[in-house]
Amino acid sequence: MATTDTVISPQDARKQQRVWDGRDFPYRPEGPLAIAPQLKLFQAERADVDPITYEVISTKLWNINEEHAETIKRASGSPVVAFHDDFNTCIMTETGDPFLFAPYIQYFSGNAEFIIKYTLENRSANPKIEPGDMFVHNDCFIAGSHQQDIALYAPIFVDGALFCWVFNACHVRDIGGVEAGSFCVQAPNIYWDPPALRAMKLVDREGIREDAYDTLLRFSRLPHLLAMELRSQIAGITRATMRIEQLVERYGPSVVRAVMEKTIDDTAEAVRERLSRLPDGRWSEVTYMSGAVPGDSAPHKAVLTLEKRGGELHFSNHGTDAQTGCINSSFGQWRSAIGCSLAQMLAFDHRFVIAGVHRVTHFEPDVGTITAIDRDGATSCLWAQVISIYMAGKVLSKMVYPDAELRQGIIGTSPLCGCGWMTQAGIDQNGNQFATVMLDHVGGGLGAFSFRDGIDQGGATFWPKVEIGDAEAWEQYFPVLYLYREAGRNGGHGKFRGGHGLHLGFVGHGTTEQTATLVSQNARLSTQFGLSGGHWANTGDFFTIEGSNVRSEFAQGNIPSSPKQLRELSGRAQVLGAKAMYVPFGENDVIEHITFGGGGYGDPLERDPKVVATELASGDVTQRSVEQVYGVVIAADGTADLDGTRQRRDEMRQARLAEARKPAGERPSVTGELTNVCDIAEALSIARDGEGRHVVRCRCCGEALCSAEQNYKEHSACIETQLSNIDPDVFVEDPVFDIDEPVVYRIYACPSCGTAFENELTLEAAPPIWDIDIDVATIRG
Amino acid sequence: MAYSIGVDIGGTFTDCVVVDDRGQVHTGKAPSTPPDFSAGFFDAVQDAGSKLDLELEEFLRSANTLVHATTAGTNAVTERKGATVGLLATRGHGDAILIMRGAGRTKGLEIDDLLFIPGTTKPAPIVPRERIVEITERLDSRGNVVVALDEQQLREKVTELVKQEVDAIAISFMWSFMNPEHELRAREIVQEIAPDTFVSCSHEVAPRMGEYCRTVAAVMNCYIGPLMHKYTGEIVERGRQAGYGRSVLFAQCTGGSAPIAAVRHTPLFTLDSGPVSGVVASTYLSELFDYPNIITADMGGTTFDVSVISEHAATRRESTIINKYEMYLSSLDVESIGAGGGSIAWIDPASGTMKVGPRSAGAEPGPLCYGHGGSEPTVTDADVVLGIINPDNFLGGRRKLDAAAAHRGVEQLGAHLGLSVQETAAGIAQIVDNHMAEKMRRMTVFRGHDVRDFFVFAFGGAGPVHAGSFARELGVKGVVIPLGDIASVLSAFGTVASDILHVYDASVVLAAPFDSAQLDEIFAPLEESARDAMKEEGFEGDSIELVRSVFMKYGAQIYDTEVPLGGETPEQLVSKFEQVYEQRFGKDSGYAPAGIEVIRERVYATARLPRPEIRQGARCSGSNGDSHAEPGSRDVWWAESGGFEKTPIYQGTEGLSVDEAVDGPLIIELPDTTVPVRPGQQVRIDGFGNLLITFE
Repeated sequence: MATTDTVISPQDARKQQRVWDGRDFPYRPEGPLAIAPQLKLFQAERADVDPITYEVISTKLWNINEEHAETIKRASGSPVVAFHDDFNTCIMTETGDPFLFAPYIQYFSGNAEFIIKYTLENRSANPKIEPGDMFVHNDCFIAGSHQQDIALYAPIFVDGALFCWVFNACHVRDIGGVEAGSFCVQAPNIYWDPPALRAMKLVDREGIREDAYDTLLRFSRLPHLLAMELRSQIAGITRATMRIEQLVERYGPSVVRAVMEKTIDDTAEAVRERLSRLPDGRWSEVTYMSGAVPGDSAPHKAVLTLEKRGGELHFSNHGTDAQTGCINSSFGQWRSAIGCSLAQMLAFDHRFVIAGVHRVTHFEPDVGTITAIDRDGATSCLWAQVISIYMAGKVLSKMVYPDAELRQGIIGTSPLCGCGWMTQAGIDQNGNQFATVMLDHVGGGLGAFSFRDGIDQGGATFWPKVEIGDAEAWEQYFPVLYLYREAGRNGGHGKFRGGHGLHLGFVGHGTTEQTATLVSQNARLSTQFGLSGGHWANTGDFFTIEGSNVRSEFAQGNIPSSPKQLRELSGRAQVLGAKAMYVPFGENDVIEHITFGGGGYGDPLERDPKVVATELASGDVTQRSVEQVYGVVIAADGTADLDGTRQRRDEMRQARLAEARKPAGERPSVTGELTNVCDIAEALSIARDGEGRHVVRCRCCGEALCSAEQNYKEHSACIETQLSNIDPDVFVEDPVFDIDEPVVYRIYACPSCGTAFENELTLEAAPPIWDIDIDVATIRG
Repeated sequence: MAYSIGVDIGGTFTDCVVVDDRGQVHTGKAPSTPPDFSAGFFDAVQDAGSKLDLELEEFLRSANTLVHATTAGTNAVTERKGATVGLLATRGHGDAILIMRGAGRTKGLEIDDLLFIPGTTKPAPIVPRERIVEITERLDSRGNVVVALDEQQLREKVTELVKQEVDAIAISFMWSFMNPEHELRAREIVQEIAPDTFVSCSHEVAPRMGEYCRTVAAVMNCYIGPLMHKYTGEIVERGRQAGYGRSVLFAQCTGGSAPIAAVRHTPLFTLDSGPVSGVVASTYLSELFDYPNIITADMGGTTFDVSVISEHAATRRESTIINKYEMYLSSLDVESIGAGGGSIAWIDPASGTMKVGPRSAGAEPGPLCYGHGGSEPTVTDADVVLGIINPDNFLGGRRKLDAAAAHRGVEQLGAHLGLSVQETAAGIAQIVDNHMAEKMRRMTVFRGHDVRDFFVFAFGGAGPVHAGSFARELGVKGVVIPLGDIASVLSAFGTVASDILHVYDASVVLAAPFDSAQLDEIFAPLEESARDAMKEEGFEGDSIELVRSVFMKYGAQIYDTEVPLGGETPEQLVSKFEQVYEQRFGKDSGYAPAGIEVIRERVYATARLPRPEIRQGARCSGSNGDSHAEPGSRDVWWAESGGFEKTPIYQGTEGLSVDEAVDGPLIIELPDTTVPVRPGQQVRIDGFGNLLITFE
């Protein structure tokens, strides 16, 4: 007799069967798309295109896509789009392969692919895909960065056959959900989030479908603004469609198609060639997210493992914690996040044509996790997606390191990895209801490169044309007064320093009613990683003083214009946790936002002392950092004392070793001379001994650490400390929040010479991450 | 005889154009003489004078006007050789110019450079942190004082700053354009402490919202201020010594010119005055020849500059990017892409196809055919291979070209593509022509213009060479090579076609329905300033013209558009705005329910200068009379027929009868440029010496 234990719901059954159809299990197109036969796809023999025509059509397609983007920018009326470029446009093949993206937010790219493919498989029979149609979509479970990013897209037909798609996605200011501005930080599941629309026909040959349009506007607190935002998207699609039709008319569809195919093929070929230069292996990263909902203090683990097998790349999230609160991403989001880093590192000279890159990728997600939700997971805060971009950047950086050319593309973390952002909502200075997201943080510090410093306020990497607006513009549109917007001093230290971020202080101004919702990472669990022994930077912090005396300070001629001065105000001061809502933001309430610095690269004791001296003079580093982090001795005239520095650095390396936990593992036995065969990190290489055995060794002193089949970290000296101890000057606010489990910052260093190999921020109880595991049999040469 | 003399200093040559009072145009040319450009200036003037058999002194004494477009300011900025500037900023906001709105590594980059992130860098600060001083004061968005100006602190900090031996001090406070009180008081104090220091206030240089671009404008004004003070002084003084008795005028990027006092106050307006002068010339000629709609296409060695003239009016823009710094600067809208005769053709390893530019071989080493050590084929090399450019008669024979070197280079490139040398050369031309057509398309079609209503005015050394091709690709009515060979020195001509022009801005936000009286109140002080300034420059009453305009937008939108005022009622103003907005941004791009706003007000103050009177029949130098010289011929490879064709070659416009159309293919070799008339095209010369190319 069946018991209730053995009865499973149809939903659970579908999950167990792993049906990738986007109903109860995520969507993933598998095999040829199941498209209704009545939708005719454009088919033609691949035309021969001469190199001149190819270049001419490529340029025209690029311009069409940019015109699409500019049309949206100027018609949208949204400061989020106009000043921050929080949108993108693209052209895709008839089966949804993304061929071309404008230089705005790149993670819309992978999303676009799944959205179109889902539409083809699920809408071609009913309600049909026809000329003149436009669809709207924001359900992240299929794909989409978060529900606020509304996708609008249209098929383009040539002689009755589907030829290609044009697509855009724009961040709208409010699309409903429990929080104004739609970042639903308290959402335990999708049902608190903004509504999720799935490939809904918004426009057909008759024009806008009033039923769909009316319903869509009903979701928003700001329907008149949403109306304008949607109109701008429609205008963009209309223009791009017209231009592509003209192009096809002139050159013929098979020629235009051949250009698209060649572009994708060339990208795939370049990626394959690059991969062929690299050894196979496995690279892993573990990151802890925090603040699944306000007040949550548990660490939530995300794992990303990349395996390279020949010319193919396999990504897995195995080991990632179960989905929770508002911090999740869907499988589609996770895949598109990884795509951003793939494009940047492997297709930088192919205009990020992601369809070509994805010919070599495979994704193996565990579903029901933070990075691959099941149908109940909340996504409006898009946290796991942005973090996944940088986790992918980190594993890819380690993968490409052995190749001297690709190594140039390595970049430490950049803005938006672990930072926070803020939404404002309430009544503006003109008495109107408003809600908006402030995106100043995207102008934070760009991480260090493998060959030079990062860039102060260098902006996010996956957002090529990123720009923050003027403080005056924000004050014009919203009820706020900036107390300060200053360059931070918080780039991660290293042989090459990460770029500095921003310090932002605000007070509500001209409003009777305003609150803020803050979305960030727990300050103790920074995700602003450094690479190859470079230090991590701080994550985004929020600090508030409710009911402060800032106005009386104004009256007395004082402006608190730095984090230090802000803290001298009276009132109810509070360091805010990872997520906070309904934070008062009135005339006497101040909020401070410290945006992140970029991660550092390489051991700071390897930094050129002369540069350190210059940066001390310019104020980019403090005296304490110079002495304690960089070990540079400054002479009386302000220049670097090179001999003194050498001595001091030797002492510091010795001190490191004295403080360090001794390696757990034995040194490997080595026969004969070691011959270097492959550099795998700034201070690590693989070498072969006289008997053909491979070992990992220190590139600085040559010491053999372990066999190449072992985790070098188990054989390194390990200093366990707190990130905030490295350099308190990088942190404005002590990371005061306790995490439910103890957190540790580990520096793995050569047990012989003390040079740092790699740092990790993790839980005390967690084993060392095995971040680099090379298959020595595949090392070339 | 009286003369109007215009001088345009470029990187390589200084051009001089002279229009006499019979409407005859003469030219002079001399090498530019950096760093002291004034020597080249007078060499070029002397060269023009000598063609008129006049000594410099006699020539200058008989000049009515002497107008000058200079790159001195632009060069100082691009080469980072400007003044040591100090900056006074609102407390908490001194870093704005260092933060560069987070776009300091990417602003203005071409797309392929943008996507290769490790190649991107941020420029060195134009004012380093140690010379940025934060002052306690704060206004809000309505111009209300939130925190009073701390004068004592200001005095102390300025005293400290002056010790750093700054040459100039920029003052840029938050919301100063809404209420200039604090900036004005700060200037008074600075001038008390350092009376000889050049000072600029942001509300004067760029009175509009956006502290970053306003601050950059004020700082750049200071950066070139001392240098321009000296430079303009030298030109004026040497002119006076050489016998010129009137006021020397300086071309401005606003599209007008200004006397020395105004230039010394706001030298920023001299930036880009050279390219803008080409547009000024085109605007003037658009009236004279009655071509209301023109796309100007100025193609030189490294860049292709485009602007749009619609209904005889040049299009303006309100900000400019130099070296990744963006600043507010009201100027005629000339946009550039990296496409010119020196643009390099190369094989993109990514696609295995050919690309052209944006890298350029420039003037040195220049194209392969220059024989100065160039190592890669360029657009000019392709033109030589095709037979379009005559290697023995380049720049009127002043430069002999090595055709064999061009042939070899292009052939090697083509070998990678499996194309013949001519196919490769034609491909290079087609790619660069397409780039230029796309650029023009973005500036016209995309902004609501119908290109079928437009002519292309092609000038610069390489503009006429490619115009027949890129203009046909774009789909315009035809091409005008204005004034024949004068096309190669059109910017210098533009300086003598300009009027004195000053621009006065305010940024008061008004919501519809508008109140005429309130608008009058805003305009009154602007007009008063304009009249005062003009009076000082010697213009009064009817000789000055004041034109009002407003910048308007829909309430919930970001992008604004300029609407000239001509006595409209408030209701008429609203509907005029809606028309202009729709024309510019496309149908249905507006949203009236969100309300309509005026966000800025502007007065253009113009004092008319005597215009050069170019008359029909007064043929320009290089084309004296209608002698029917028989053309020669050579083989030219035309892409249209895919092969060589024996093509008539005209030396100058001799041999062409006025208003008589001749079918292409043919080539007209002018002293400073070459005009191919492609198969399927026709050319005729008009009474002004313009060459007009039309398509079948």
